[in-house]
Amino acid sequence: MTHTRAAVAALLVVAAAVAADDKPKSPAERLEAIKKEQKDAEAAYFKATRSVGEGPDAQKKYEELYKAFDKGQADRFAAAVEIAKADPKSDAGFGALEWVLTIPRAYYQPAGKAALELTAEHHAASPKVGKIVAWAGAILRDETSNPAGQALLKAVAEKNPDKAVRGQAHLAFATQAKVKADRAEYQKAANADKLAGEAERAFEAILKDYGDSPRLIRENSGTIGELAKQELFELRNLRIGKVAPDIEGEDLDGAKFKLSDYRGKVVVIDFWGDW
Amino acid sequence: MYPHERSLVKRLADKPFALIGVNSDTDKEKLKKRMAEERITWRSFWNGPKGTDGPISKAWNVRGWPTIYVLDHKGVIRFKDVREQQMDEAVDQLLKEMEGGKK
Repeated sequence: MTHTRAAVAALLVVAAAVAADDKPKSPAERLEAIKKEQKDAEAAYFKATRSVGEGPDAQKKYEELYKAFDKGQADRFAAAVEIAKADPKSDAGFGALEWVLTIPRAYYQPAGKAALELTAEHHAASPKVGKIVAWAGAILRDETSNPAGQALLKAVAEKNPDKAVRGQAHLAFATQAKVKADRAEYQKAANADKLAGEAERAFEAILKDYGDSPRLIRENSGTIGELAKQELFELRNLRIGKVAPDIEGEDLDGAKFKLSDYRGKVVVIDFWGDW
Repeated sequence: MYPHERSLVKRLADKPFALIGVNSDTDKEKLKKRMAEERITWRSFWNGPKGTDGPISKAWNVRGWPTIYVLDHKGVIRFKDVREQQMDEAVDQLLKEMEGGKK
């Protein structure tokens, strides 16, 4: 009896598999297939790079492997964007946009631009778009680097009825202001202090208006306010020309000491790890 | 990274200079082995069991490793994220300021 049931079950599985091969996949199924292909391609790429070794043409091999992998992922991003283009407001369409726009590399490929434009056109006022905006903000740290991305951030800031979603866009603008200020400081530009002041005001504003809103870049990433306070601390206390805050802690043998113990000496503070 | 820092520490052994680390490794025993291997002799704060989420790097808003700050003898931040040759030049400049009697 069991034998027959098993045989029938096996036949049904085969029949289902055959039927599935004949039926066209739904957009959601196609998206899942693309995601799986990407995952498998990533794993294969990393595995291949680990076996390149250190011969004289190792660098060339790395470049070839990356080129091939990158071409593959460009095709996958484009395929996902096609799903979004076909029905941008569907779950699968939105899912495709969110998948592409949470992969930094995609932003620098044509599919990324198309995904940003579709998101701005169809989802700027959607409560679901917060994660995309958070990722876009983290990736587009230079306000001039990506016009399509900047347009999405602006559209969301203006149109989105959800406070937390708008907060992600304003956080992106404040971050861009700080990156501008940091770059001016590094270049010893004449307007470095002015730009630092602008960045400070931007973070003060989002602390006031969006302080309690969660950051939506990933689960459990704290509030916008917590990040704003850290950035404000750095802008106010860690700029060139400021007396460094003291550090009180323990060394690797557990002995207590302070940074200020070394006042009177030139000090290099090196935040490091051996990983 | 380590060879350059070793040579800097050695070169300036008799000068009013200190290289202070803030380490974010979580396995202290493994770290100590590595420090012996790499002859890392300078002192480091330990950022605690949370590694890169620890209190010191969080207070200094550190987002990337390594992050470098160079302070003069009055504790003023003078350079950031300088490495290798640039770090040497920055430190030498600040030591010269001290010796030049700049107040």
